[in-house]
Amino acid sequence: MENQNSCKLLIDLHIKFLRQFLFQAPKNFVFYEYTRPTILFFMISGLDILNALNVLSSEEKLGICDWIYSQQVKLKPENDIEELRKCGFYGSRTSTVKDCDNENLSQLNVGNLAMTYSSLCTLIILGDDLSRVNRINTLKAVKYLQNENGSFLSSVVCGENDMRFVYCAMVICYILNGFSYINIEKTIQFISQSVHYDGGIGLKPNLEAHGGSSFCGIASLFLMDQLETALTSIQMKNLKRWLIFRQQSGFQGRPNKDVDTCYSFWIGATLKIMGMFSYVNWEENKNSILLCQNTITGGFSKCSHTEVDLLHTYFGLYGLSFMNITGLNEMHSALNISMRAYEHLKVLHNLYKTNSYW
Amino acid sequence: MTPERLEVAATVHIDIHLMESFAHVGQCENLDCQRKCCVQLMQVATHAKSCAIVKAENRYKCHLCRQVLALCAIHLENCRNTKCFIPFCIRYKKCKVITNEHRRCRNMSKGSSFEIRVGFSKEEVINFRKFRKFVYSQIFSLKKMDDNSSDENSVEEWILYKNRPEWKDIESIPQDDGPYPVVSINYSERYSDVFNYFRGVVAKNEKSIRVLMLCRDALTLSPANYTVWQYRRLVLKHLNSDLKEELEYVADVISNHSKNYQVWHHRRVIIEWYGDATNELAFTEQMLQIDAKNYHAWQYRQWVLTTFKCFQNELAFVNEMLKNDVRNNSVWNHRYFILNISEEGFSSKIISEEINYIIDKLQICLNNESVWNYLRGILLHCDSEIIKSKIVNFCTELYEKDHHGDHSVHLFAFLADNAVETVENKTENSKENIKFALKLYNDLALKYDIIRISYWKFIIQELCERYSLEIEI
Ligand SMILES: [Zn+2]
Repeated sequence: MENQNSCKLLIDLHIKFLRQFLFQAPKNFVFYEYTRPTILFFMISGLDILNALNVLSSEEKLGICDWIYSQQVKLKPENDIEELRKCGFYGSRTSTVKDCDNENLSQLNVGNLAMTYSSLCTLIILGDDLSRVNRINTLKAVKYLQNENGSFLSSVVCGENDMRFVYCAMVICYILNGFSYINIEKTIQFISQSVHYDGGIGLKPNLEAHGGSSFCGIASLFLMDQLETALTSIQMKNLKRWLIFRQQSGFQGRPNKDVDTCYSFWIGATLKIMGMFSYVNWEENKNSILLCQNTITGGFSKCSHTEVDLLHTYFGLYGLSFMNITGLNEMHSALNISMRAYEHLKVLHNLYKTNSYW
Repeated sequence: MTPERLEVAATVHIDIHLMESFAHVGQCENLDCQRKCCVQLMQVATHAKSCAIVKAENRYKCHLCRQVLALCAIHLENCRNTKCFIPFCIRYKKCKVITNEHRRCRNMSKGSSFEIRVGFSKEEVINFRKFRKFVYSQIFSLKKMDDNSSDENSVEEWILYKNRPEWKDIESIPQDDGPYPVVSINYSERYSDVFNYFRGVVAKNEKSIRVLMLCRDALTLSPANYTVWQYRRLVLKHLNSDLKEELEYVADVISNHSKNYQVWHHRRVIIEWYGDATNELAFTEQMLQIDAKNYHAWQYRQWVLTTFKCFQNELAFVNEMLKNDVRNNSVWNHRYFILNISEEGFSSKIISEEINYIIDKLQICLNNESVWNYLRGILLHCDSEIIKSKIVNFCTELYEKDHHGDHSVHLFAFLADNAVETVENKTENSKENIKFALKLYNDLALKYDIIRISYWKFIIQELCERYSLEIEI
């Protein structure tokens, strides 16, 4: 059906969609309560893709940065390893209370690599100078959350440890210029052990290869500047094949699964990092994402018959940005922020290096 | 129109234009109407009609029908045309009456209640409500977001903690969102109440049975809240609670939230404490029956297998799973995993058996990427040319037979890659093999795998450069 309307990217509508719950969110957002920094990141970085950060006043931007910093774990005087592992940023405010120094409650506010990662990225996107980040402790938390096998725990309470948190740890180290805090060899080893027989990368060794974990693995290697050396040329060749084969119209995350909007980002970005994105069929990919655009409410859904959500809106837009679409900012393929935000980060790095802060 | 085109036509988002075309289709009595919308929508609608006749209860599962019925539901709101052709339109008009049982009795003038009862099963009415919900969620998702979440809609009456005398001793502590809240959630009264008391007990460091109940209420409202899960574990440990009961509880939560990392992690910790994983394989099997590709379930199963060393019957389980769905990539992965950790490993006996198994499965379904990938995995461990030639011969035969119809992209790719590999390993005449590979890659690029044309051209170019050949595409 030549429906012109469904093939056009409705930028203004998506800006509205991303902006609408930035400060006040409806009841059903309680399902995201534990991960508000991630939700916030989708909104802010999504607006950045749409080149629309100017819909926020500078006061609002500052307010958001203050809020993020209010979720940074407070320093305890005693600095033993167990305490340091809890540093960084937390997600849920379940145990945040006013004027209360209750020891039991504050013990539940522990940092989480995914939240630290989203918080730092959002700060950079908003133009913050990261001066209020407790850099050393955050990096020490990353250091002490690394496992024997090279992977990283998400936090001391969650017990999850897989490729997602390897990626979060690498971005944190990249942003805070702290690769010296972690064991790079072990990290590389964990990633290469998770390369699967079919060429893709799993969340852990032995687990099925998956679009999301392939991105996390490859982006991590790229950020460590190890992409050219960590994997063999055969591994690289097989991975490229596996990634390219994920395209059906849009992309699927695993063989024989349905196409899903977010994999236009996960797979697309991985191909982009590996210099292979030009071999994707752009037209099919573009149309597939746009089919999931809701032309009434704005936003994107996972597939054309499901409800729109923030994650798929964000990754749908990101996926589109790889194909030079007018109105979308150029995005960094490994850091999950815009090139504009990346330039800001570079300025900060230079600044802190010359003042030998970092 | 090909089925794919139909699908595209049907999945285009419900927008105003589409609704207008739909209305036109409903009124257009010209069966040869050449208006594009008419031709296309009529075909989609015809599909829905015939599909529904075959099996009414499957309608909601059929992706195509779902789209049409969604359109029907909106259309219905405005359609006053009693002769409307839209499939289900008239039927659902009546159906709508049924949902308003009481008003129906009063308002219905004609004695058509008999017809209604004949026309609609209870299931159809339920399905219709689902469709409506789906449609409204598409269009009014913003409005809907502020409705009560389903977990709070339970029929039983809920008493707030602040009104429960037995909780009088606990201070209700509100959450602090700071002076400038961001993504500030409009919590329901029940949510705030439960979490105020959660903070109350944490502040007092109370670890008691009633706290377990409170955690349960909190997790019903926010199942991924790892803070609550963590505190729950502290209480369980402190009380030395009955872990069997906890396992039942978490099984229940997992079946409702099977894609949530926290719940699977909780189960794992409880099993570690419990020390007995006898039921865990059966449990994951149950979860896999709901979603056979659930990554969490497979990951958990791998953990159980390696931790408790209980893989005796695992290969039989895999065979059964592949019988159900030979295209389930997770199961193929699991098969590889089991062989990989088994004592025997990839012995030449195992490899040879696996090759036979693969040939079997390829005969069921040739265009199944999972098997082809698995084959590559198995061949990684194979250094016997005899075993390898068996599968290569099988493929070559297929290729030579297959000059018409179903060309498998994966078959072509496998043979081409294999030809290149034999040259690289210097086992065979190079020129012939490279030529053969080029032909296959070319066919993929231009005929059988057009979506990847740029990629195959890239492969061809690379190959030609490596062997200093002229590129001809
Ligand atoms: Zn998705």
